[in-house]
Amino acid sequence: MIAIKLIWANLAARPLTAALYVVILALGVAAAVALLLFSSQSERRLERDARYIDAVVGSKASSPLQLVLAGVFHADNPPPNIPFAAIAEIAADPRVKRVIPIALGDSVRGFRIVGAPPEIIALYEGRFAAGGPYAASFEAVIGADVARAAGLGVGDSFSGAHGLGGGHEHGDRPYVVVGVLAQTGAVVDRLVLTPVESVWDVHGVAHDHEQTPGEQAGGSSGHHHGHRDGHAQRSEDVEAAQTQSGGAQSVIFGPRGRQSAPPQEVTLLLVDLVSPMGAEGLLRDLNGASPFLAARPAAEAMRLYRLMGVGGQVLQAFAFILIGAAAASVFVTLFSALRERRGEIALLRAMGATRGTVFSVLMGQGVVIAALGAALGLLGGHGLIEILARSSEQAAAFGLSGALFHPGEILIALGSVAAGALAALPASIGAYRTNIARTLSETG
Amino acid sequence: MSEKPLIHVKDLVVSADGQTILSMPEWRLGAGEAALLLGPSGSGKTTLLHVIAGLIRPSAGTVTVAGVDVHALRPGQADRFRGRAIGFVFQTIRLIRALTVEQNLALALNLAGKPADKSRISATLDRLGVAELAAAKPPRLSVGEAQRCAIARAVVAQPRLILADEPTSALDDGNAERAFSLLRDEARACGAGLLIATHDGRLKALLANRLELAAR
Repeated sequence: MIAIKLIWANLAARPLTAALYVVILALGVAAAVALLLFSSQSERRLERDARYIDAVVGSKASSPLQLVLAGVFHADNPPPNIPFAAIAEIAADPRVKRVIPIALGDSVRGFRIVGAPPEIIALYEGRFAAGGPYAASFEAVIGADVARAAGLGVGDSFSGAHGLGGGHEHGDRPYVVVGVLAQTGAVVDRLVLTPVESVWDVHGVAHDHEQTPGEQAGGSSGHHHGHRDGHAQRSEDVEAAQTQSGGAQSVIFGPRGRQSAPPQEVTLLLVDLVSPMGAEGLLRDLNGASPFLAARPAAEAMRLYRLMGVGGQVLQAFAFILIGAAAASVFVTLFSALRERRGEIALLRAMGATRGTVFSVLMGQGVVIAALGAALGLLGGHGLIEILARSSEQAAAFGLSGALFHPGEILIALGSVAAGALAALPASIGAYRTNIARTLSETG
Repeated sequence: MSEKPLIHVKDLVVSADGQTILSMPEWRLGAGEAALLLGPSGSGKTTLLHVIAGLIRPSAGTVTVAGVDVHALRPGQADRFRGRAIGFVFQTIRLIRALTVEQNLALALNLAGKPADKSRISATLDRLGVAELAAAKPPRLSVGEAQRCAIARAVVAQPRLILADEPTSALDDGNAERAFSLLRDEARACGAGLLIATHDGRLKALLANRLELAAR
């Protein structure tokens, strides 16, 4: 009790100094915690999202990372389109179990609209919180985050905007929500799913229009509508694609009773393999002679994670330097003040304080500064991640949340308090060992 | 002297680095008595105060304070006994700087194992004429004010014995005389014994009971 009062009085006597150390330490702890939360949450999200899909096939004019980012994590601009005939070609490979084509390009309130057959819902292990799958063009199934953020429910209608946010609205062609998915913690939470036909129709792609092969479907590209629309388009090839998909393989795609002509282009293909063992060979074959590029989400996610890891290590080192600097400051302050405070320590002992009391008064100052810094840092770290999650579309795609706790934070907090205690230890031992009689006769 | 003495020093020898720095066959101070401890610098005045307070262990002999053999106590017990039974006044180290005057007195009470009774603190400050300084931090006080507050800190827990080491040496004539009177009055008021180690000639005329240590 006496020690606690003295610890507090000593810290309060130099409030700015104490506050400075608390802030430096808090910055270090916040950085370390934010890094831990970011890496653990994004790694989990990347692993989870990559798990659903064995391979992604897209245009040769793209890169493996772009294919995976756009097709699996929905965090990049779409790559150039590929002809619809590609579905049949890929599906014909005996190593392929299932092909799901997707058409990208539009968004609603920053959430991506994905044109795909309804089987994509099962692929993402989506369960319906309300409604059911879409059956017709301009019907949509929305993820849990979309429903919450956009305030949409079954029966509501909305218009898509060109590109990923900021584009003009296609106000004349509203979508109707027919289903809302339950929260999965995966990327589908942030997607608007609709038949591929919707994506074509919304851009006024003429059913019998002239072919424009290889055109960019990306939201960042120009948006000239009508005949030269940059989105996935229809062609006569769908029948060919369907007839070619025989045997054990199946191509999940169909015009669903529509009168319109079949599509010509899609953005990319999500490919399920019969066995993951076949992935390497398929990738080699496709990336060799074919006009397509194939990528494995798991491999690209790992590459991406390694890239982020380098930056993360630099930041982590910086975080620990901050924590160390705070501890060093506490050490220097307490230890250099020890000489001028010997008189007070002697007075305390003369007044009846034990060695243990003066030891704990000095230790306590280091520990209290460290504990305050650690607590502030934990709050700051979570706040930082929450701000990041809310402010950036890319960060949101990593599934970041400031509300999630990681057990490693306990270690960071305990480590910081231990650093504070260690910093205070030399001064505390000095106080414990102070020769009272000599100090009093020298300075008394 | 039928009553037990407050301080009883017997066959005391204090050595440092193999040399005897203080020896005293026998000396007593009765309960509630006041005495001056005189002698030139280096004669062992401060050493004797520290031995009596249990801060220095003698190489031979015993010291009892209020019937307690202070050197038979374990270290923690000796600290608590000092806090309860002895009030110290020094020449320059007077108060804990991070605490207000009032908090310094509260700390003295706590270290004596007593509650920090507000009315007792203000009564003590009032008696010493420094009631208006209760909320002041020590660095703001004048030398004279600080020494009054230090005396208040030493007496607030009503110790059995007040040990003062050169309490007036840093003070001017007026303050020195006032500080001495305050010490003597306060000791009397709480029935404490008073031992003042000093080479301050101004005090010699004020107190007849003296213990002179020889130069060595």
